[in-house]
Amino acid sequence: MHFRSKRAGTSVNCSPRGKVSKHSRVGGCSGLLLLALVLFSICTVSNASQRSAFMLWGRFDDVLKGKHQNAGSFTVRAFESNALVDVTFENGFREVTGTDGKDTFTYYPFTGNSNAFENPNGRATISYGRFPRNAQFAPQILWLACVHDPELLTNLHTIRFPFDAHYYTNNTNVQIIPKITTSKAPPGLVTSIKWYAPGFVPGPGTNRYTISGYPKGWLMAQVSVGETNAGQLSIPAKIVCTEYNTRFVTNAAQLSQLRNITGPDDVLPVDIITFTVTNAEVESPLQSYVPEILDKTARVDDKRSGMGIVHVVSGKWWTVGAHIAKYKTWASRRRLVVLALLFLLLLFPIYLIAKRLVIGKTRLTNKPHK
Amino acid sequence: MNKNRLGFSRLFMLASGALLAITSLAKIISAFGITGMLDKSDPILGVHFRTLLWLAGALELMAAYICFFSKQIITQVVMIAWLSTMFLTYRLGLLLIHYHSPCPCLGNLTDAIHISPQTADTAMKIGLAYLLVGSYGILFHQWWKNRNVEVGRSALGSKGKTRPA
Repeated sequence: MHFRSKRAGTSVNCSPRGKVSKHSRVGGCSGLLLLALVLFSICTVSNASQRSAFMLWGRFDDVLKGKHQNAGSFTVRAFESNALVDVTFENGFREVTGTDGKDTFTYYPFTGNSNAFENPNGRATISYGRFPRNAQFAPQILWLACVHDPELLTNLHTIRFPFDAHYYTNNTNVQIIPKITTSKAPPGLVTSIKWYAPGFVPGPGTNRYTISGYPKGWLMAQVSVGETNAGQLSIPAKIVCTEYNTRFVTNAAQLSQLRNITGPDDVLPVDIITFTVTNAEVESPLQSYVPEILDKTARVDDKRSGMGIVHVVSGKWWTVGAHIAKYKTWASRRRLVVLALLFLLLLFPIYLIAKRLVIGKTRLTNKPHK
Repeated sequence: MNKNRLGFSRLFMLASGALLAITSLAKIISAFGITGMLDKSDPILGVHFRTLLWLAGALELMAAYICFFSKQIITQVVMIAWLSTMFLTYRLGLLLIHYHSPCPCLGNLTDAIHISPQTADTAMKIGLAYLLVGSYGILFHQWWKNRNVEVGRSALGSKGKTRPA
């Protein structure tokens, strides 16, 4: 074979005996490189998800001003921005909250005495957004510490927590500012969040009452996460959530302390919730992070509109009664229209080929008479 | 002038081919993932997302091949216009049934390269708009040019007929 190089204007011989030209060698190498890259990407993608899913078990203890307030146990299953948090409080109240990657699914199983009620049932809510805004504080903290969700961290200032009190408002000047640090080790979880309140108390209208000693704001709450390694992952081992209060004056001795306040971080701890992980393991990502509804009679309050059915962990469904049935009929009609359109579009190339064949045939057969 | 137009069309084809090759590879690579989303059913076609990624990836790869190696510009443009219309119909279908999740066009790859699904979805929408506008623009231009040629020919023909012998 004989090829002529356009650029150099020189000819390169490629003998049939197996001698390979420079061009074909380069082409072959780049082809192999591309193939290797594709294979590497496939391996990375298939392993990426396997690596970052984990499960935690543990206990938590809530101490308010040095006295026991609440306690319980928890289980967290997390994968990237999805999590399934199951918390049981010491009084037996249980809350399971999870996500389908888009919205929150929170389920409160019936934990009371079923004989005492005529129709005992659990409750469940579906609401907008991945982060469980309506859940209890403890599951929310666990969620924050266990998911890798850059979108959540970006929008953290818009989420209201119990410690926000009167600071949360649409006015950006009065908002609480969260300062976040994340781990560099995969899956890049949060290591610390500090919520800073401004150095004043907003009053009625535009009034602002400056807090003496804290002109630059003060640390309102903090979540700090102690990490441990599980496989290649760096996952939470201990999570401490502390709510603070500013130093205040009740006697003359404390007045001198007020003068010595060093900065926004010089505050008094009020409430400390400590989450201790007793067991952790790396697992494959779940098919779904939506909690399973255990009782058939659970009432589901869907706060969204026009939404469909979702999968749950066990592969069962969250059904939202008549609303879902209505949606299914409504959506199936529209789906049929779209399917018909797609089918017609799929036929288009066949139509073009057929047309070309027919025209070609007529052109061949309809030869001009001599 | 005509050369420039052809150059633009060729450039568009190459860019579209590259875009389609990248997205098709992303789809095919993503189809190997193990994320739960892949085993869920697509809300429009009813098949698993994994199957859908394979099918769409194969179609895009075929289109990319045509963009790079076909010599007929019209075949390339029609192929891109057809494919982008299909994607547009699918996306409109998702809107029609109120499916608000990001389209899983890049599958699990977004997780691997740490891009949020929303960002990937927006990028894919921009890509789709580019393919649609470019392909239909070239088709319209071709049609307009052919129409002018036809009009010119018919005008010449009618002149020829009216000219006295």
